[in-house]
Amino acid sequence: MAGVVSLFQNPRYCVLLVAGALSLAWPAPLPAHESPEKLINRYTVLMSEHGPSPLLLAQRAIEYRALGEFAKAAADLERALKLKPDFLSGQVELGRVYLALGKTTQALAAINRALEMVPAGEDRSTLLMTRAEAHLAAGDYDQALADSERAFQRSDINDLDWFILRGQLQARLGRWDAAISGLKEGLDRTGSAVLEAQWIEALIDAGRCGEAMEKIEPLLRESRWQSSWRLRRARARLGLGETNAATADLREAIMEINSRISADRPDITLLVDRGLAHALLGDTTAAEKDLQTARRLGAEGWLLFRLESTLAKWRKASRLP
Amino acid sequence: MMLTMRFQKAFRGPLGRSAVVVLAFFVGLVSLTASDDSETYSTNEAPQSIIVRAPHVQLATPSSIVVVWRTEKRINPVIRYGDDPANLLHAVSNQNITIRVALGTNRAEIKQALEKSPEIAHFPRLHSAVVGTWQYEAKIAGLQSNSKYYYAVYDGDTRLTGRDPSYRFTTHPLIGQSQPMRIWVVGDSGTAREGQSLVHHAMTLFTAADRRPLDFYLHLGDMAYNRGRDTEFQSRFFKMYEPTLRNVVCWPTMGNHEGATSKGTNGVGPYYDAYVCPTRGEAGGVPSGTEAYYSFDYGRAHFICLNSHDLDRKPTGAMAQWLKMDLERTKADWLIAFFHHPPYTKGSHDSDREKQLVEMRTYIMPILESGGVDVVLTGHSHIYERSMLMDGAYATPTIAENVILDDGDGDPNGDGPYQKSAGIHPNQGAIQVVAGHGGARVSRKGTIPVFRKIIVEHGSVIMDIDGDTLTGTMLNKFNEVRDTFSLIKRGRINPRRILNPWQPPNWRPPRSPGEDESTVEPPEDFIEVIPKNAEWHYLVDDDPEGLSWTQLDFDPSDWPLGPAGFGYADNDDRTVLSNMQSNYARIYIRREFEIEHADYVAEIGLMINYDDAFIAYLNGKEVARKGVGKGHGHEAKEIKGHDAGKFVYVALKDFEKHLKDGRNVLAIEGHNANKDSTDFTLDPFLIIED
Repeated sequence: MAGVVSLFQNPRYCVLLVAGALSLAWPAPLPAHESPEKLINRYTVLMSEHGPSPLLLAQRAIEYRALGEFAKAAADLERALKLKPDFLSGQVELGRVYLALGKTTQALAAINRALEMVPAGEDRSTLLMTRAEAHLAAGDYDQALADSERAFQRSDINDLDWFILRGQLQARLGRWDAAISGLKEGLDRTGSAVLEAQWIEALIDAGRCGEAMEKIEPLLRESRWQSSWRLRRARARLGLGETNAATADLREAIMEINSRISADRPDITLLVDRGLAHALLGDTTAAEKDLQTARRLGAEGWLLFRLESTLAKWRKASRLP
Repeated sequence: MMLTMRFQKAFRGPLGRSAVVVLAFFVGLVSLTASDDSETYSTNEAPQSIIVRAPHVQLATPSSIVVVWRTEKRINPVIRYGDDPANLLHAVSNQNITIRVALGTNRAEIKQALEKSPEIAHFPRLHSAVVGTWQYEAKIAGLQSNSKYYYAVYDGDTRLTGRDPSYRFTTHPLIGQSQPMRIWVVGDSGTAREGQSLVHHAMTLFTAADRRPLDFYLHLGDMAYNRGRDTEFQSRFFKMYEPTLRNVVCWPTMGNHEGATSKGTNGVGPYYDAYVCPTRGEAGGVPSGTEAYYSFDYGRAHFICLNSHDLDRKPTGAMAQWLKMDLERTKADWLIAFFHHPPYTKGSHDSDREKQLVEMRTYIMPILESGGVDVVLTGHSHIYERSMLMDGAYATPTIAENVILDDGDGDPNGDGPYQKSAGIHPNQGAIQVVAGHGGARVSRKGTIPVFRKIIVEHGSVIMDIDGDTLTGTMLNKFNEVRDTFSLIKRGRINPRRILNPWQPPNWRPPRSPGEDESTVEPPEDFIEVIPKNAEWHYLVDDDPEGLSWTQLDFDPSDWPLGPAGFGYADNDDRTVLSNMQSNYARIYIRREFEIEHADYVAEIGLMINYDDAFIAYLNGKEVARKGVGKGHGHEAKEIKGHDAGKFVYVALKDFEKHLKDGRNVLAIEGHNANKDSTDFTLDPFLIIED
């Protein structure tokens, strides 16, 4: 479920801050040519000359955030909200910064305060999705899914990450049919290849491997690099009991990944794919090694979900032939 | 008539006027951009009064293209096209034209419009265009690949565009077909200032000189400063590049300035109104499901556009997942990626410090390089930086050791071209090009050791791909070639990592003597609301009563008028106060100015050169004081000495409380430290953040 975690730190909410909620009460912070350091200095000098204002504090917080200095950003936003308690976008931004700091309780409180100020509309849906992410970070999957489904009550959602998040939450809670139909709805609405792949993964997870195979074959044939689709086909074939064919796919996938992956500086997505292929082949040592490397490089959440769960199964069950 | 007036209103003001000047300048360039063939037609334009955004071509494929234009009233849109400009035999109308309309946000006005024309309820809306603007997106399909067509826009049977062969387009070659291509690469250009126009002009001269026109155009973001508003798109992008855009497709990526008003998550805003980008793999590549990121093919090259501004950049995000799938699918020989935020830069931004840049390097670059990317084009940082052939530089800070595969200059006439194996191979090296020097003020803050060329000048990049050879040319705004690099993909190359590669020379930032780091610099983009050397009413050798002279209702008609600056000695004055020395130590000046939307003003300040001190008032309230200890007018005390020399910026305090829509007045009292001083200067102008 790392996709979910990553959404907390998703800078798109900065745009929300600027273009959405903030516009309700405040002029938008200035998009600037200058670097964050220069802007921080600028806002600091302006505030030393003219005193602090919520807007300048929020602008400085955004720049601190751009530099990854979340504690300073939180301090500025807290100060801004003392000066202007109904500063909606400040609340939203504070919630996001708390999430980046891992302070989920404070994040939920800030987002709840923001939700009180937004009774309806697009901004409320976005806030609900943000709260879903906060619940997820706190390990409360049920609440996270409930919020994401509330966010989807609007009919015009086309945010791909929202479809992915909801699908991942549904999968984690074993609601396969809902995950499949939700991802298919997103696929039909947007045509996104990512949602198509997620939908196929959900079909496999739900045991509908024959359907998945029909979708996988043409996509595999069209691809220059085939490891991702071979991996999916192997999972589907395992679901259909075609163990030998699955094993061949997994070995091909590993060979191709080895030819692409840099030993010193691996692409995380390939590393996780290779780990999963090793895990499905029963090579838990190699799989664990890839898992640890992926974690060290910053991989998180749902990117690792299948690899972790496959390894967990192997610890309990027998190996492939 | 009302709509016309609204449109004119939206474009009035200093930038609107400058855009018109620039447009007039470019009208003269039409013949240059059309000079790829021997056709000699007059640019006899038909009346275009209702066209408010000129036709421009978008989303080219081997069999189709989209022509987009806007009008200020509804028309019966028709595109006629054909392979002979004198005989446009084919037409597209109605069902193949998407019609969008700007109804604004005023519910009463929307209701009124819908009651008058109920059918427009079904038209998709323009986000923030001037109310009553209509946009037409005409898809012309069923075309021959790699073929030139001419077109004209009609309202029913009435031709709206002139009989001008520069209204043309060329379809893409078939995917996989080897075809030479020329691409114009520009970033951070949208200022509507001289730098931008010169960069464009230089490209037209360069391409005309070797009679090799552009095939398409990549814009790396920040094309409409300062906030990517619809009016800014019009004046700083569409009008600036109109002669090019009517026949060359611009494939865009969104910059942070466009991101102030457009959202990548839902594809809404002026940026998304301005462009028609593929979402379902229409031009090649894997369907992205969004216009925020996409890919397209041109012959044997695959181009990938990413949104580095406001979407999740992590490998778990939808964009990175799509990128991985797109790279897996493509069978091209060349892979070119472009996005706004550079993974490597020390221009006006620092990739060792800033989160978006760090994330593009650590999360996205590994996916691109394991997919075999050849060139990465970015902007954001206002500089030209071009790397050696490199791979795997994901550390922070960026180091060059063991990530450079060829530390030569890549110049065919220098150390020779970079080399990679034929076809696509992972981790064989890419060239990073930061081309954020298309028009905004250029600057540099340091050195990233992977770069071979670092040039702080306005310019753009012309990229040519012909068979197995890619050549990049950095052209400055004076049409001078400032860098050439080449990449050849041929045979089998075994890349090796260089432990101690060539290093760029040390560089230190220039610093003016006595520069005060704590001073606030003026906003980079500003409008002069009281221009430099403007005329002011002024009063000398007398003191007005109280502060009533600083207020809007004060009548200064018996004060003389004179241009700033005011003073004597130093040869820096336009209104010379020849009798000031030994007679009086103060001057009072005031000038009215207009602000259309005071609520939208984020910052306002004085640019002022002064000797020795002053107090400034906005609509009767003190908003700035320099060098005057206390009091005002003839009661002012503790005047400190200050030498004139250069303009400094002084932000006006609490301006938001005093600035009003419509008329405002700025009043300034200037003080000399003593009557016998050898000089005096008071030379202000007033600016607002643009």
